[in-house]
Amino acid sequence: MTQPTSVAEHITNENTANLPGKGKKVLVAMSGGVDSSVSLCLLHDKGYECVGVTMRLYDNPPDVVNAKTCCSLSDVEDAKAVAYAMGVPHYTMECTDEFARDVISRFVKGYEAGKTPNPCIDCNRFLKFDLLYTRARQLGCDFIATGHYARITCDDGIYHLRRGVDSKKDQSYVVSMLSQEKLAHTLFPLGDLTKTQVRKIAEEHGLENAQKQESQDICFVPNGDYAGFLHSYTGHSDVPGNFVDMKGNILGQHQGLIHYTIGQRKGLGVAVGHPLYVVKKDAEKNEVVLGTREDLARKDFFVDDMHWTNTTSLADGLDVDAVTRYRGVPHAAHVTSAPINVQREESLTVDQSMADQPTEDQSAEHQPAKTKEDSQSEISPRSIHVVFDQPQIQIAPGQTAVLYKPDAKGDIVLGGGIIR
Amino acid sequence: MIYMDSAATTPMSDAALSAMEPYWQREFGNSHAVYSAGQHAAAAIMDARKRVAKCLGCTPRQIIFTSGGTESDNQALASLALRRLGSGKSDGGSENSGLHVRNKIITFQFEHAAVLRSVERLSQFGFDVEVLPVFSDGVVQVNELLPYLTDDVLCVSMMMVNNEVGTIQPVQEVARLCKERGILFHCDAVQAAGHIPIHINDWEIGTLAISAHKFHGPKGVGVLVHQPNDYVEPLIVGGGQERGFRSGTSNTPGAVGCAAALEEACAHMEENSQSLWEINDVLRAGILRIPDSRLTGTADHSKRVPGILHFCFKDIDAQTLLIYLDAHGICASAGSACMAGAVQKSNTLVAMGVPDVWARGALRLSFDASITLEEAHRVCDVVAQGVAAQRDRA
Repeated sequence: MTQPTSVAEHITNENTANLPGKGKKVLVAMSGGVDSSVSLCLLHDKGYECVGVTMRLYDNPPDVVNAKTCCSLSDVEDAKAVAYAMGVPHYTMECTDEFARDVISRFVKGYEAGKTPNPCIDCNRFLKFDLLYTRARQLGCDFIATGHYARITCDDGIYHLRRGVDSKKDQSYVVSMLSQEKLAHTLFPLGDLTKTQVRKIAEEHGLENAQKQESQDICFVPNGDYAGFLHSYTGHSDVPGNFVDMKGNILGQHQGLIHYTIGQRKGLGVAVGHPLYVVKKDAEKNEVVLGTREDLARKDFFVDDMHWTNTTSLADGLDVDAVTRYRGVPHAAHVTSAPINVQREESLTVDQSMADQPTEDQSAEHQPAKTKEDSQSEISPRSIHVVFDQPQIQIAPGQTAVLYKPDAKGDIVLGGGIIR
Repeated sequence: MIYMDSAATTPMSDAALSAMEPYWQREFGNSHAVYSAGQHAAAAIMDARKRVAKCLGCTPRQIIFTSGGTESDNQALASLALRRLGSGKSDGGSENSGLHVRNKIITFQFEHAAVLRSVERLSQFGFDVEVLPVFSDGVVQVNELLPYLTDDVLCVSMMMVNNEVGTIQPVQEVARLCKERGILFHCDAVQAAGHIPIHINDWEIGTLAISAHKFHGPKGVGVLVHQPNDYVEPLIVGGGQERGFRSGTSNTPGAVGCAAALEEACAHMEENSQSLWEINDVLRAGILRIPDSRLTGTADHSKRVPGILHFCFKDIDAQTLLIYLDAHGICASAGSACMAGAVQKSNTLVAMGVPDVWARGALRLSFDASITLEEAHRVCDVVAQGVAAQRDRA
């Protein structure tokens, strides 16, 4: 009689068989959570030479009196416990300056400009897949691995970023900035697994964090109180202003722009006899524009700061499935290249310096001199115009729009950028 | 493995290990017990106290065995507050009337966290704390300090050897200036004991902290030296061990191991120092051949301990370099160790005004005399490779 194989063994053998480069060296980004821990276990079991790294991203909140502990210690300890139990070296990297500059400060600036930024995407882009990716190369690693639920396949020499098989957990949206070069050196061991399977593997490996709760909030705003965080960060308090209708008529007083998001209906405190939604936030006038669901719906929008997973021609336009928020539903759209948003390009100097790095992305190799003319070209343009087949709601400036290939599976990421 | 982190900790010496051996199982008695087994332990501790005192230039009565350098620093500084509160061991603080008039505590930005956090706490208790910057060569300038030594100063706390860059501070001079002005002087000598000569009483040092594991003794053992009838108060009260200055069943093997290790380190100080300087020369020359590298702190040998070198590399990430070294079998650090093992901005380098682009690429090489010249050359080669690998793939 044959021994039944464990879930972990089964999954390891069946579902990660397509991982490339067995025996190679991998830097595994470990948050201390169950997903990245299981990534490490799978890669280790598969014979990769793993190095676990936890990035220390922010200091303890300043209001915690006498907080002289070093990191978010318990998360680092969790990550170390997993790594050491597997006999894998683990290191902590101090990234607080970079996180403050590339994630927190952009988040604050975005909010202050009335936008709806997604700091997790910036963290992936600037910290995990830029800073840590560079560190991995400097340490002679062949790959960087994370616990994201997304897949990377290589078909005829082209790397495809695809949705994870667990549709409830799919995170292809938040890693949409990956270029060919980065896709070639990134591993997502969980892409073929469901969360349930991941927890089972964690239990079979005896990981103490197997049932650790998922973080729902933004890590540096642990209680979800964005307004409170922004107040303490900027030192500014709320500036109340007017709710106005689509024609500019004053409907009431709002408590400050940061309390509202595009598409919000509840908690507005304005009654006009029919449902009202936040349609727009005007930072200059400090106004929140309210309208009907029809007013909220938009047929088209612009996207700046596009990152393409591969060189993409928009000479004849491009049919895509566009997603405008995390876990959003894809909608059919047609995309054409657009003139670059000069104002945005100038305001985001960090973006520029990143884009200028020759190894940053594949498109850079094809466009060695990245001038404004190039950016307006129809090959992998930095700005695009997206036109939905049907008007859609919840298109919030500052959020990331991700374009998927509109085939039957709809799981290939073409690229992503920031909604203007 | 090439161990280049002696300033973090050292392996136990054979002398310490064998000296401690009897006290785990055979002579395990409680040193405060009546029976002879206890008396054996008590005698061993007394002997250890005597030998440690001799190495440090003080009397046995001045020695308080503690759990380490951090506790010793804490006790010395917290005593200022405890004494003022009158919750003292015996006489409630009548002797040092200065405690009621003087309110200022002076220390330096490059002190160890055990001192910096202690004075921070004192400032919360109402003391007026002044944390002074340090010169770019990593040495406190006495003439810069002088104007701060006013009549309202209660205590000055200054380390003997900086733990990150290895510079020696003018302890003798500052101790004398303090004595002349009726100022209490505390010295964190954790990186100095066993490495450079210390003469506590000749130098009129008030309180001094050392830690056994920094000189091949056991971990978890330290000493606080004090001047009897000065101002030290117990942090830990209980059975009244250590003449009431530090309660808790005496750590017999620890005290014995500490004494054996310190005695050995002091006995071989001269010859160790000679071979350490040879290694030091090889490392310094080799590392400084790396482009955009520099030695941190003064180059003056008379103001440095031979076993600690500190370098900065421009535009290099320290932690990445350390991981590279680890992968190549070399243990080193960027400065003092942090709980989670992350390299954080060093208060020493900030205090010395090292620019950020250099401070991020910090490397401390600290070593004992067991390192061979071949190993030193190997370290230079691997550091050069690690720096080059990072710059090539920036």
